[in-house]
Amino acid sequence: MSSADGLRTNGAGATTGVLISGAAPSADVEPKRYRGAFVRLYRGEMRLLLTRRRNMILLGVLAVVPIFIGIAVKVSDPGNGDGPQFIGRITGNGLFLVFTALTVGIPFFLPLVIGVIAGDSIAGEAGMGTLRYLLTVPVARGRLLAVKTLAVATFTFISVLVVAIIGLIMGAALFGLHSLVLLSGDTVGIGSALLRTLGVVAYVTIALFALAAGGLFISTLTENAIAAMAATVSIAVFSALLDAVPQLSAIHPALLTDHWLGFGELLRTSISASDLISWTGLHLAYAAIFLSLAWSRITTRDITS
Amino acid sequence: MAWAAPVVVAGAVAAGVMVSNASSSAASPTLPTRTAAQLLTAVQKSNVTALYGQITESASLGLPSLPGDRANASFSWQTFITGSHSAKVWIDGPDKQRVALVGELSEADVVHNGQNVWSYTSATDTVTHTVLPKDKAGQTEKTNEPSAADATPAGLAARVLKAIDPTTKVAVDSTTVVANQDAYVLTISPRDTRSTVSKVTIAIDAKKYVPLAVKIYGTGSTPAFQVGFTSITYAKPAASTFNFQTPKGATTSNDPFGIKSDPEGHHHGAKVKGTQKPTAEPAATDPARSSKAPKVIGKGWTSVVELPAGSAGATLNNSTLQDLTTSVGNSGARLLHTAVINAVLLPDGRVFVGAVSPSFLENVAATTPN
Repeated sequence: MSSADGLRTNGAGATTGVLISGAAPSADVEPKRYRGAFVRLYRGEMRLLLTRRRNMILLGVLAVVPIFIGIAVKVSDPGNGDGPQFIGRITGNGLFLVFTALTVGIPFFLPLVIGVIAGDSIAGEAGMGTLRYLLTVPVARGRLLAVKTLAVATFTFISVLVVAIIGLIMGAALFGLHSLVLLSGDTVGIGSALLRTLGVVAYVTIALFALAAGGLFISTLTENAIAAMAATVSIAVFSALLDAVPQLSAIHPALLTDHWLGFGELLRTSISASDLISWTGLHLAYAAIFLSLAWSRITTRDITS
Repeated sequence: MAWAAPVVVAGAVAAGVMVSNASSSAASPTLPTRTAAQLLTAVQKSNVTALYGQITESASLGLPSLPGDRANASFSWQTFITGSHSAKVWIDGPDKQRVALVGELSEADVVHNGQNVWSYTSATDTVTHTVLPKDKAGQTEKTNEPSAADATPAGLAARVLKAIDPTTKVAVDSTTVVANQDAYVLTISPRDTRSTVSKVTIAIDAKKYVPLAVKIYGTGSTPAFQVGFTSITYAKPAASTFNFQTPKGATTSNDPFGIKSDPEGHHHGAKVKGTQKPTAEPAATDPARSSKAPKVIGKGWTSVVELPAGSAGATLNNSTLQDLTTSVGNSGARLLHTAVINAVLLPDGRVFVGAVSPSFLENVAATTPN
């Protein structure tokens, strides 16, 4: 039990219906800043996220993806036929298990996990009636949102990392790690290959963080956590749906999910920095808009539960 | 007032998008006047031998979308006739070129270095290696790699410029910006109204005289086919770019594109033949391909290519082709209609292809004896 956690479980029934922190949005009196309050709150938040059994199960589901693919490929070599990208390359180089697992996880599993975490982030507290106690901590609402954002971002990174690291371990154990044959047909050493893999993890984390920010915004709109989770996953599903309709090709480049698989750029001989920057810029722009909406909502909202 | 924040952020994003687009949008810079002839000469005399650039190709021929989308990069015929694709090119003189067709998680490369030509397709992990005869080594672009070379603006421009004769109006009537370079726009339009091509525009770099973009217009106001640089650097690419080593574990095959055995090369006629294998894989060499050479009927913009029976005979039974074509007349002939290119497939196996109106093409097909 962390200090922040403790705050949320005692004192039930106090000051119902009263705005607690920053009472009137226009006259938002900044609470006195205590040293380390932000870090303590973040630590408490992370401990809560990582020790909740539901979240551990979600991370476990993510870990199953590379394990399952690795064993399946070990049992029966798929060759270069159908199936997810790179699957035929895994037998030659375990590193490809990381990319295959990410490619499989990006359309659904990862958005699902992020939808649950981000959607629950604020709506869950409101639904449980713990949000107002959280606001008694000497942290302004904007800073509370910042803590929540940082925690959700960290969890997004951990989710991607789980897929990548389990994929790397499984790949190394079952098939061994070798020099990486890039999409361009050129070969790079294992050091450069791992560096590129790290870049892939960073790219995918930022891409998925755009969705997490959307989840945070939705989470500020409701006290029903399940609705917020479902709505967040729907953003990804709906965006992917629009992306699959050829008649809408004009708007495809601006869709949230359109460049989620853009990490392939990092696996070429010549990496187009301008493309990577513009795609990552798109993801960060989505995140900025969602977070500013969330900020506006949480600072003006009447928190009654 | 708190809701001003998202408005400000959205505004900043919109401004950012506008700024980044402004540099690449179709502005009209003021440039010294050039005649078409001056421009063409300058292009011929251009001393640019090395460059690296990113290219976008898009075709809106009015065909339904086909397999071979951006997910899988390969030099197959489907790739070039529907949707939008991007590629990277590296050129260092006549002996060293590389083209990489970029798919989302895949890539298809052709590397030419001296006498060696390699190709690599990541989706199938396949390598081919061809050693050119010594005397031809310098001219690969013209002889052996139509699909790769014609994907570059320079290659396409060369083909278009070759077609210029008294049937054609050529003018330099505007300027534009392509890949951040100021450029002249050379407009070529056929005088013959039976042609389905209304005009072809070629953007030419105003400083380096390198063709940067080619657009082919059909009857509509948007190009039916366009290929152009989205970025270009006039610098010598690293030598390692052209030193291709066969990757470990890759399958090697001899001629997956069928480009060397295909005299038509990138010509649209070849695409019709390719329908026998409507997969994203590189078109295999067609065993039914006839040794009879295709004939060209007519001249200039309204010339029609006749592909002899046997070269496309089996295709009429192909379901993909049945979906793409419509029946014409009562002889069992079928018409493949696109924004620019039309093709008539006769029941006897002959195929007529041309950038002419369907009625003109049917007339040619009906009046040409077998």
